[in-house]
Amino acid sequence: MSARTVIAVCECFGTLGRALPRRDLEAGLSARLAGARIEFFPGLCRAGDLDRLAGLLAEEGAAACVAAACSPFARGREVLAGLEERGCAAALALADLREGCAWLHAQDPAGAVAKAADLAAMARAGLERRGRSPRASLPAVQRVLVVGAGPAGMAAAGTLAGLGVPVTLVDRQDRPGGLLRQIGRLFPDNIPSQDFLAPLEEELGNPLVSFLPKTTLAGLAGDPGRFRARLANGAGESELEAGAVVLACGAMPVLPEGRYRAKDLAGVISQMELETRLRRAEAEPAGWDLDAAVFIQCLAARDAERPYCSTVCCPTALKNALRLKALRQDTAVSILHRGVMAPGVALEELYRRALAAGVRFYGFAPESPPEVLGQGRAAGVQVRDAFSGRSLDLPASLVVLSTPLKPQPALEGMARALGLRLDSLGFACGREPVAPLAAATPGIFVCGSARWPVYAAQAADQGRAAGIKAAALLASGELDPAGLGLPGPWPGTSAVRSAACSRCGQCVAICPYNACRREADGSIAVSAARCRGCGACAAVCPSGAAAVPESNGPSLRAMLREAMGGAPGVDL
Amino acid sequence: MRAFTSDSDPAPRTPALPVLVVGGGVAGLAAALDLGRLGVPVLLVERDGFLGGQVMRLDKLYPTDHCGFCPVWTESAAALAHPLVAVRRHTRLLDLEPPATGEEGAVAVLETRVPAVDPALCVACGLCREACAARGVAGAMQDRPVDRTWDPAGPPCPSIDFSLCNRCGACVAACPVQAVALERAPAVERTPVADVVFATGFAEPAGPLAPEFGRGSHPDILTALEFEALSAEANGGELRRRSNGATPRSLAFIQCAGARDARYLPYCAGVCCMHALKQARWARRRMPGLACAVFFTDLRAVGKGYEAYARAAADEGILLLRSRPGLVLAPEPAAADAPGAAVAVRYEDFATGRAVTAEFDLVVLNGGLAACPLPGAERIRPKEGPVAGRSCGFCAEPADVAQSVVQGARAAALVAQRLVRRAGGRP
Repeated sequence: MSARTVIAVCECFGTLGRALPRRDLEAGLSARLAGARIEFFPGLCRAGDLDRLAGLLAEEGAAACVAAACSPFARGREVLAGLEERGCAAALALADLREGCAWLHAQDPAGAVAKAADLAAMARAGLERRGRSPRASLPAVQRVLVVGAGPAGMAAAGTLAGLGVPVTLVDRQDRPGGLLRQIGRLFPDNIPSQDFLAPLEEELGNPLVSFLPKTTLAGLAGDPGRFRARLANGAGESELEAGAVVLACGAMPVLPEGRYRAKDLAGVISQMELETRLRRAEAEPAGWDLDAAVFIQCLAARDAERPYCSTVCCPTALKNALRLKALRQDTAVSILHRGVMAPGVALEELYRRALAAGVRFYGFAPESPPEVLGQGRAAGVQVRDAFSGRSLDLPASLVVLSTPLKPQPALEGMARALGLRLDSLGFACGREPVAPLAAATPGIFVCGSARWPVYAAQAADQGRAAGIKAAALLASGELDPAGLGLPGPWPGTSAVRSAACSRCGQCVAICPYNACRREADGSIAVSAARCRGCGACAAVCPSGAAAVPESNGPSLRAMLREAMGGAPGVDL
Repeated sequence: MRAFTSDSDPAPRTPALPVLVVGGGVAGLAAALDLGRLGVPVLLVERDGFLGGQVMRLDKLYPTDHCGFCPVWTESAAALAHPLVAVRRHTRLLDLEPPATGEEGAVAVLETRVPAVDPALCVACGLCREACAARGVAGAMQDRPVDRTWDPAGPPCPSIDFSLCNRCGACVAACPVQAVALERAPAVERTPVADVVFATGFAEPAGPLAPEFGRGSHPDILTALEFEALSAEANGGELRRRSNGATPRSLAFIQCAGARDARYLPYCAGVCCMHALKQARWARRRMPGLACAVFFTDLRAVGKGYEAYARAAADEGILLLRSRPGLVLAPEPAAADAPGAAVAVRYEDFATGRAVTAEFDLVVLNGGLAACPLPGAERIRPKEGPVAGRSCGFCAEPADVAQSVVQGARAAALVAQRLVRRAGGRP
């Protein structure tokens, strides 16, 4: 060892003294760490002590420094960051002598001193063999691809353009709007959906937005900050470079098919069909004549096949029941439900408005579903009211079936391309619940009903949220690979030594971030933009080729050797 | 900073005014971090001593059943470390005043009340406590405040119980980092800000909302957040009755207690059904024999993975009862200490149509959550759009963690877009 190692012990203002008496600790460390210079500081979280330590390291020309202080969860990280800020050239490591030692073993000073020496020695041993990941520069392409132009995608694209980020917005339809184009009015305020879409369309007028109609995402390659998307339209495929991707491909309604005699009785229609009829009737109310309507909720939802509540169907039924009442006040309207799902302030208020307008509500149990009566056309609905237990005969010339939203069939393939996880129902997942729109891969976001059925306003909110997150990721022009913004050294990036690599591909299979990839020639490469330094690849690599330099095999073995030092039967 | 400077003018302009984010819960944190990462300076004010808000008081988060502490703490740490995010704890917004003529934005009136032991400086060395004890007034220096308003991720900062303190100043002298001061006047300052995001969150209203449920009449009748604290793993995770310390045999949750009720809170607080299911499942995981009932009006498990969570709760044997109890009766004071004296819940059993009385050792009243006020909200540029565009999280509309995070980012997006427009935008 040419240059010395400095062990900087933080005394935490004298509080470690009970479990780690200074004289014993100094003796223990000196005995264990031959050749190291041991220095005590009252409090390394103070700027003065950090200045002194940084100066000492420079003067000593120290190659390594172990800050024997508190844990990274207290101020430890800040100590290392403070030394880095002071231009310290030595390799740095932390040994937790406070929470993990002095606090834990307050009753056993001798044991605590021995453990403190072990921890410091292990940290030093690890440092000697530790490598350093190169700090890759990861320039980010200043363009975001937004897939799907429903309210979520439109809001995402509008937000990005409004923040100065160029956007490519693609949709399989020929114009933006998504499912909203088939819906006349929106709950809870009953505004025409056109009025909701108009400001979003205006935002898409920003010259930074290019909209590609009748275009789908066929594949995605590349890395965060520099994705290469394959876009397909009728004419063929093209490639687009994008720094980030927002997936907003929406969901689609389940069709009633034959259930509740929808195929053999006229007047048994889906909620979507009612939307069309209502739009026509509201434009031309003269010919509208309806004496009684019954809504049946939870068709093909909350059952064994689709064990979920689709969020939007109850408010939609409330809204359309009120629209029926607005068209003809004396239309008898009943809603048969399995719980009225109207959470929050605005939706509960909508529910109250429906009650006040005379809409009747009857609960039914899934095991005794309503029965639609009639010959040729719907005449009524028979239902056992779950509350009173009575059997009710409700006349109905119109029976409206509420079905849930289900994932787009194309979602599975797109999610695979983007590295997005799907839940058991086939919807895309973010990092629930704290980062619900962000995929594990930086630069991939999901919003709107592709993630979970939401209504127009929620979809647009999620689109704006995804938009600002994508813009923020690209804002500095470079990606922050650790992405945590925490002080202190970053965790490092894995590397695969091709000379030692057997190309078995186990690292590719295990990497949770799709950072380990097989190149065209069969070799394995690690993407610095994706790697989070978790070390899973190093753990499975049978030939020791994959390693995160900051915690590579030699350094881990050196630490273990220190820890087990001379224990019988230990061969490292 | 790209969006806020032009290409031809790479030099920073005069320092931009910060956007004020009021509230450091998950919604405010999301807004502050997204703005900061975008290059917009932020002033984040939080009335408590820690960031993370109510999530820090929650034991586990539905539907993942993971602890919320770590991911939210990571966000808190990122906000504290971000060069463009200035965090002011123990600070509340009193009011907003109009900006100086010709200026945009508003002037925020902020009040900061730093506690006697400043958590921003404290390193939890404990020397103050020892000095305090040495003067013979042991106990004045508390290990931590009883209400847990310490930074759960930072050093467990002590606090002073001024009912015991004799103001000798030994703690002040003992503190190696000058974190202790016995007198700290609240500081009020006026700061110009470019715009405001409200994320003030929610609170359980102090008064009993529905007197028939007997909140406050007996220690075994609790609110949802009181039960959260009672049952949290961080507090030992061992469920005990508050009346006599006995292990409870039965537990009831009464949903919509004071909510969806024209007399009190007319709305649905959105989060309580899932919250009750989470609390019930965790209580039974820790105490498998515990009988659990949830009295609900509509079981609103509306959200990603929520229905599956509710089904699992029912499959595990949690009794889900569609009924709205009419009365919760605390045991007579004389009987309160007797073993077995339980809280009576009177409700209509819809299967039989009869009124039934059931007894429970603990009763949790769920649903009474109210949005916190938005000081000065009506005074901020009403012409530019509704306040709703500036508020996020529960103070805007009942929201759980996932919804609050989205709302926070969305509010940040709207504010950032406004700033770009005001600045003439790019390109």
